[in-house]
Amino acid sequence: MQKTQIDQQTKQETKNFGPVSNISPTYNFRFGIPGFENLQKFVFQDLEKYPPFQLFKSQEQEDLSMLVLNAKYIRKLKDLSIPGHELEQIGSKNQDEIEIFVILRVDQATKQFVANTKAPLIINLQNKLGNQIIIEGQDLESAYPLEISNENDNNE
Amino acid sequence: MSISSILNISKQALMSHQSAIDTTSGNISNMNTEGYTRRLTNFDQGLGINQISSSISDDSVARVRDSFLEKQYMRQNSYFARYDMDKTISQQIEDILGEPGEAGLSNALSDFWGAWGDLANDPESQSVRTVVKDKSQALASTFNRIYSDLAQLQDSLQNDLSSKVSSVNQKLEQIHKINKQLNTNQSDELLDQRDRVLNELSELINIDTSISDNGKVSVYSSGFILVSENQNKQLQLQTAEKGDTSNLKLTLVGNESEVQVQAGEVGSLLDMHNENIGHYIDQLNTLATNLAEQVNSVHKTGYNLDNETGINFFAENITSAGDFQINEDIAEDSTLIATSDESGESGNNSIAQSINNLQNTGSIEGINPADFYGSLVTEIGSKVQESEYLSSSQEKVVQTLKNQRDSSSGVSLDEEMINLTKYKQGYQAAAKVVNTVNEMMVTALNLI
Amino acid sequence: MRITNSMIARNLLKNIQDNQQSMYSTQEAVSTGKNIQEPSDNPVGFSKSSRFRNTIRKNDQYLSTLQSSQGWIDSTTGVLDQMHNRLLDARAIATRASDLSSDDDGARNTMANQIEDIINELVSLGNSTHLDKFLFGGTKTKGEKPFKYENNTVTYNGNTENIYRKVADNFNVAINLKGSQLVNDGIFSALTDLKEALETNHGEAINESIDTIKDASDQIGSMNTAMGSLKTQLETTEHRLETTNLNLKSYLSDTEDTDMAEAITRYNAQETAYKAALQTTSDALNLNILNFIR
Repeated sequence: MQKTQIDQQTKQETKNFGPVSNISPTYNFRFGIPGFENLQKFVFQDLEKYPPFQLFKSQEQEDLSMLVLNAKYIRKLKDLSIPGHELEQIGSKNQDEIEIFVILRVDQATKQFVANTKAPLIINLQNKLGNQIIIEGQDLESAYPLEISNENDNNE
Repeated sequence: MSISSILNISKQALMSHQSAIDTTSGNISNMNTEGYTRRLTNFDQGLGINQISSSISDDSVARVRDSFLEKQYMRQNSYFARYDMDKTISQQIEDILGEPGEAGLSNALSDFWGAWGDLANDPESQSVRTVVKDKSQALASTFNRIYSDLAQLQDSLQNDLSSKVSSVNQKLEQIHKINKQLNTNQSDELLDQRDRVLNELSELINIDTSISDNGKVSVYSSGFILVSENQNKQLQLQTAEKGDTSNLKLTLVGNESEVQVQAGEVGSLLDMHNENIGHYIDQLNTLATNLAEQVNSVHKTGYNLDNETGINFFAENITSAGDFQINEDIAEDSTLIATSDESGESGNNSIAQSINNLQNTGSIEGINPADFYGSLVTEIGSKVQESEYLSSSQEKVVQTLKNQRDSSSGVSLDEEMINLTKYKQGYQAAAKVVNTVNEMMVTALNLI
Repeated sequence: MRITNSMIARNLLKNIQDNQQSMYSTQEAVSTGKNIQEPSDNPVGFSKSSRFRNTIRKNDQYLSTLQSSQGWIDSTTGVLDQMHNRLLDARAIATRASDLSSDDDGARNTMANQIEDIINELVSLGNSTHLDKFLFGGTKTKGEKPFKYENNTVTYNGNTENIYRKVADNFNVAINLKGSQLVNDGIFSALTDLKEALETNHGEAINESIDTIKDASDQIGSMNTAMGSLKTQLETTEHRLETTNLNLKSYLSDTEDTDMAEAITRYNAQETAYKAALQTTSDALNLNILNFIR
């Protein structure tokens, strides 16, 4: 049986999303993420064909990778406020020091992308700490549908 | 050289080429006959420069068959037949289990635990008790069905074995008969036929052969001689231990020693029947009996809403997945289901919770129920995957050998056509010589 | 090597069969959207995904238990709120009563009746059910009511057992408030004492009752707070389990899933089409994706 060798250092090819590039440095999620508490090392990879989507990939379990989107691309999350104690957990003093990502899934009924805006990933770019946090209150959904629309539309 | 000797030579040439054409047309018409070994016409060189002779020596219409290749081919073919049958049977087993489908045992177990979890969440409810009863009965029928399907498959394998063993015996007799016939008639057709039967036999069991000086073949398998110069043996199928139909063995008629066939379809059937299905059924039974016992020992200490206690949830004395069922009293009256570990406490869910906890704490040979069954499913899946792989790669080996064998002994239409043209031209040339000689003779006669 | 016709035919047939085989399995993958059809496709992968599915199922069970537990707790706090309000009303009455002149029997009797009503209400509240089960009887959730009011005493007939709910792997939580606590904390006795004091015109006792009733209502308050903390704990557990299941589901039907591939392709096409459409209608738009995602 032939196995294709994938060069870990340079460009990798994903099965469905084409090539990835710009692999970020490793982030340390000290508490793992819910369901995978034993995994702590993660990276972000750009999808060349589909910017600005990225892959959030475990360095310790090869087949764990999730599609993520930086929260800055989602208008509804513009005013998202990360609680202070969560910032502290990753050693940040204020929200400007961090980046926020949401995990995407495909909704089986509508076949659309939905984002878990209730449990985003936050990372500290300086100390490379990260965490998946759950934001109570603030009217956030765990399956927020993503749609392209004109910012001038009235239905926002 | 005299004219008559020229004629003789020509006559022989005509006849040789005629014979060659016959052989060629024989090859062509048998092109698609399985196991046909092409006949090759060997033209012997005559002795001396001036003696142009082309004739065919006795044994020169030779069967071209490489005996080493032949043995190789049969050996590998046995393995292919084995892996292929392994694949078919193990796929059938995987289908019986039907994972990860809704009708599978994993799902039925999940539903079972879920129902107890719901009851732990609402121990006062009679309607949830009904659901527990329903899901438990569904679990039981799933156990029963898988057990019965596997047992049935095992039986059918036994039937298959019987008929394949008969087939083996038939072929052994045939080979022996051909050996005898070869005493008086060393024909190519008989040899082709014998090779055909040997090939078919190799699909059924692994065999080794040796050919004696007088052209007779001896056939061996698994350390026993099955066909010798003077006789053939017969195989029989019997149970390994009295009454234990999970274990069959092959012996020679008249001898108790086991013939441990490793390859061929018979090899596969024996192994799948004894080692594989037998083992899977055992595992299923272990799961069923342990599960029933562990649930019962918790349930018996519990109280229902009428403060009754000491009731078994599953039937007592379950011995296999085939007789796995719930207590018939509960089947009739689900209010008997216990939830509390104390009398008079309707809101106490301790027993229901403990039973729900068995999904994690239950120990089937040290493993929790889902993992125990999961590893059985994985084992079967691996067997399918392995035999698919082995079968497909062995098929390539066999194809290659068959190609090599055909390469030397098969018929190529192109080649035969070319030969036909060649021999026709040779015949025509010889005929021309005859004509020329004839004219010469007429001329000579006219001169007189 | 000599090529014979049977060789050619055999090879050709095998190729055709192989092609058909691979086409069939591709089609299956597309239609179900799952990578693993059968255990034999990938025994190790199947085993792993089986365990994940079992965990998801188990967590769903916990989530269901969490929800019904929260319902129970909400009913409990709802009752406690009402008890609290009634106690405040009773305290107001006690305050007024302490201002009465000692010969105003009529007023005092009226007030005694009012307190009696409040006691009855509290007992009735104490006997509240949630989905037909007594909230405050311990594990005696059916049958005889937990509280009885006789001979100017409120007695408790429930037990002191916990109602447990398993809401996570290592979290088996007691969700009930035992009626015995209401009795022990003097919730009822504060009122029965007041009633007696009113009926017997025991001025000092009436005065004391202003504080004991206040204490009682404070106790209710702290019971409510405790319930609130419990509820928060359950909510946290709930959110964590939800997130866990979402992460597990992402992993199972993850980037290998054809659904994902289709969705992102569709998204890409949409974006391109949208960009194109926008370009024909407006010039000054900043075509950053920032403007696109609602």
